[in-house]
Amino acid sequence: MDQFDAEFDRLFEQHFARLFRYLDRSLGDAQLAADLAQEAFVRLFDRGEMPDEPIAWLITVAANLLRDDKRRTTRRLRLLARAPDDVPHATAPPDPAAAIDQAERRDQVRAALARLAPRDRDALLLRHSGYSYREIALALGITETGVGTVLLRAGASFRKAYQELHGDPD
Amino acid sequence: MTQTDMIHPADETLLALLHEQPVENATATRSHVTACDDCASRWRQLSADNDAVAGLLGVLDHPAPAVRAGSTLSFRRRHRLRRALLIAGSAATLAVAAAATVAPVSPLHQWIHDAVTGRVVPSDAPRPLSPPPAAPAALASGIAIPATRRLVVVFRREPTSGVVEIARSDTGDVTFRSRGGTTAYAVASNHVSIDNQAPAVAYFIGIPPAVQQVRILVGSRVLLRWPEDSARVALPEPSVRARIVLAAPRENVP
Repeated sequence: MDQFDAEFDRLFEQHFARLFRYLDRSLGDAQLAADLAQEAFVRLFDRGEMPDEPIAWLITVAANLLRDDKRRTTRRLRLLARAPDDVPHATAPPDPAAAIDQAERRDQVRAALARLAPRDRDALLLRHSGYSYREIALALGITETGVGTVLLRAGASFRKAYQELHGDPD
Repeated sequence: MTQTDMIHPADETLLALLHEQPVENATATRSHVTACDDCASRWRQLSADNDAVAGLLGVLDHPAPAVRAGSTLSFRRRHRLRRALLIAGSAATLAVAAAATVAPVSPLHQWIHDAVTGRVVPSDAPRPLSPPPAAPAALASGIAIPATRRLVVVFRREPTSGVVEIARSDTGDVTFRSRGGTTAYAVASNHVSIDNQAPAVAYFIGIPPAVQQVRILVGSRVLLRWPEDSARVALPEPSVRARIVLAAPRENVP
């Protein structure tokens, strides 16, 4: 295994889950998020050499794949309304009523997220998926110091949108 | 100066500290927050807001699938090796063909020379037992050639189906690949001739930034004239491909 392969494997092990989480939260479709995250890594592998900022590169490619997917289909509109039930949930709901509650809660969060400006939403989702300010800045093309401003605004807008739509979170 | 005399840090600074990001004078700022009631109150509020957002977003999560790099890429790694061998084979074939073309003693060189100069073969001269070899074209699923400022790509045969997918590449080479069909490539300086003997489903062309002008033709029909056609077909980023249908005529060369 050459140096590129070793570096690639290390990146995959350390960052696949984070990229998946960002895409999953953006899309609401775990299967599609897993496919897109893998596709982003496959494209990095096909590139044959590491970019200067591999993590930002991966986020950018994944975000482009996300946009392509949105352009190709209207699938997202459906997914925003309801996450598919055939994927395992983070915590298995104990009964059908809890499952319905969980689905409704997801819909509520997605509705609030949908009210944010795209860049604010991306910054918020990336930060809460575990990316650093530097990685977010590189991926979104903003300054590192600007990330804090965007996150403050995005967090406030998100909480306000949620409150307006559904009242205080439990 | 005491900790409370320090200028109150901005909310952005407090949030960056909360997120454990690099902050200038982080130690002094932390001490100030502990000593200053106003800043401690803002810290608690930011922390509560951050937790509220994290809690809401956590509702959306599904468990990450248990995939490993090896399982995702086992096919890709085999394919990469095969492609490298194919490219090496194509390059070797082209090199042999080029050497045969320029070597003065080779029959191919002699034949090209005769064809160009129109030399008449005397009727009593011994006739060749077999026809002269065709112009060299290497059969391959893909090639990579050094980038030139201007690039001309010609599909020799008019296909009835298939697409050309073009993407910007980060590498220094122009890359050509095809999926399906039978394709041979012939390269001369900035000119690549694609002999699409059996039409492929798709031809992929990776164009590095060094290439400033692209022409793609099917026979004499112009498929793409870039950058002039950039309003119609924008050369996209590395991760996105522009698709052009090969069979649909767009315009003809006068």
